[in-house]
Amino acid sequence: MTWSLLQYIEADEIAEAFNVGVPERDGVAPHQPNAAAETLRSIKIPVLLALALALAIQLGTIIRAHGQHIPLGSYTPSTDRTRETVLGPVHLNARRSLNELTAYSAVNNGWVELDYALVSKATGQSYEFGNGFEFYSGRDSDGYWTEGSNSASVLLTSLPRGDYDLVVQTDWGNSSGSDPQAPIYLSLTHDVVPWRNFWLATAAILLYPLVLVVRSLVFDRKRWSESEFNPYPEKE
Amino acid sequence: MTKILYVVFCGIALVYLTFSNAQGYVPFAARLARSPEHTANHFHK
Repeated sequence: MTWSLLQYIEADEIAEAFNVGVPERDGVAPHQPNAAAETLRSIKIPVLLALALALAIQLGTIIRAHGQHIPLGSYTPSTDRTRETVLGPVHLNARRSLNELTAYSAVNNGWVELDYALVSKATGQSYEFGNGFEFYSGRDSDGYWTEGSNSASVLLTSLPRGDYDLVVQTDWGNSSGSDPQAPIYLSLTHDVVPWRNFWLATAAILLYPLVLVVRSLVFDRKRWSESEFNPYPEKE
Repeated sequence: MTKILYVVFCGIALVYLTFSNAQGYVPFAARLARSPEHTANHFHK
């Protein structure tokens, strides 16, 4: 039996050192270093450190967030769809905060569309937005069915501290054509924890390492494809 | 070089996370249209 200790040298280095032409690379040599795996090893500590820091920042945000549930009240939609309902005032404590406004109604076979204006009492500035929901149910040969939801939430970003009134204009409809009976309940969760930023940052941190993992696996598969002991089954 | 670029990229992601969380900002949230005129009209009704 013969053992050989080999050191892989890139073709370019050979060409330069001996001033010779080298043939075009074909396949992957048995001892050719896996560049993607090496890069992955070199960034292992920064990856773990960045993930730990992202988690620490998010934990800090969770501890700091008020997450205060504020019921704003309820009202029955008017047949006059241009009529505005004013709810509040509501006080937002946090300097700048993410808030979630939720509307609920036991509407059945109907829909509700809400146009909001959150009006700052101090500055008079208003933040306008909207959302809506629909809920349908019935019974057919397959049994009872439902579609849609009785509530809808909307996230309001970067709202400054202060007192606000919520002005709501409601449009609605139902399959019976009758007047709306179900009241609409509105509530606000003040200073909720923003999770999207954390998931985006985590995805950004993990994107490059994941690309390297895939490239490393592809490289290894290519290397083993030359071997009669290939652990990766080839598709016929 | 790749490692340095990656560390810088991670730094940017962490700065984004810190500041957007502190500002209560998230992407893809409700589009808030600011209109002081609407407010003035509302209170004069």
